[in-house]
Amino acid sequence: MKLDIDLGKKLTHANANIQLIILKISLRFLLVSIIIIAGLRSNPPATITPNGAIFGILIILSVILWIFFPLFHLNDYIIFYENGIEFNKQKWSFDELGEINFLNVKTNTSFFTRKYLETDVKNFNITYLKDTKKYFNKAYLKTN
Amino acid sequence: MTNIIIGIAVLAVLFVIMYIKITIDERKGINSPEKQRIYAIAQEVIPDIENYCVVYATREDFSLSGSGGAITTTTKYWYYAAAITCEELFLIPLSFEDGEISYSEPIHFDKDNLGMAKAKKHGYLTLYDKDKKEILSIDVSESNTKDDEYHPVNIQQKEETKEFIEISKEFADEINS
Repeated sequence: MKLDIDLGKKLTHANANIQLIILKISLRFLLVSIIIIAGLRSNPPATITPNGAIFGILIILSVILWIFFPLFHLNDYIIFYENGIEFNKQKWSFDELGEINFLNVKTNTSFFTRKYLETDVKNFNITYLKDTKKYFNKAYLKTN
Repeated sequence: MTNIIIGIAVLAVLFVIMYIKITIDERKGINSPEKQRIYAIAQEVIPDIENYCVVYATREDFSLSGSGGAITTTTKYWYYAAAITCEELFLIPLSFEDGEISYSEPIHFDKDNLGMAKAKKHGYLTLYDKDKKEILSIDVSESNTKDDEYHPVNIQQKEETKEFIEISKEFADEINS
């Protein structure tokens, strides 16, 4: 990857999928809310000690970070150029990228499918981008 | 007892729904829009397409990875319009997204760039380079239905598949001679 390489003319681009980000945040918030409510109802705290309060605050901060983590992807983007791509401010030529495939990854720990652009350099996480494959096809393939 | 009967009834209904869906998809696939579009793509890309047998072909690559308790299975799918004669094969890579079919430059195979070819009777064709290293294998099926996002078309090609099987054997004989 070179910082300043000429990739030719810009063809298309894909930006962050805001609806997906909002959906994920909402679902995480809902899940945490259910857990907290269920936990408090079944086991309400009797007294709060200083150490308990600190621990509780740390937990709360971690949970807030987890809930709003998808917001880090609000600025994700990919630009398709004649001779390569730019992904989140980093440029790669097709010579470096090699063969490009689209990967969908499903695991048993998540309802959602993670999407990647698989290349020889690395797998780019395009989960939070909207219609990446559609814009890729528009840029480099012919459509019937 | 009642719950068992309800469970069986639900399963039976789901089975009937699935069967009806598959039957409808198969009927649609005989002359489906996807089939016509794929043939149109082949026509656009390859001159004298009337001399070729044109079929829809797929390729799958399955691999296992991981360690300890976490095993990852990865299946990759490729889709092609395949046009074949006894002497040459064109594979036109296809991409399906949002109802659109996109395609890129065809890959051409003949005796000049192949060392070996194996044609099996069920429409499976494997190509090898001059060093006898496998390049790829494609599968041509009589029936393709839109089962999920990795099986994106309804294409029934019974006659075309039979023709492909015969021609691919002759193609393999030509390459291997």
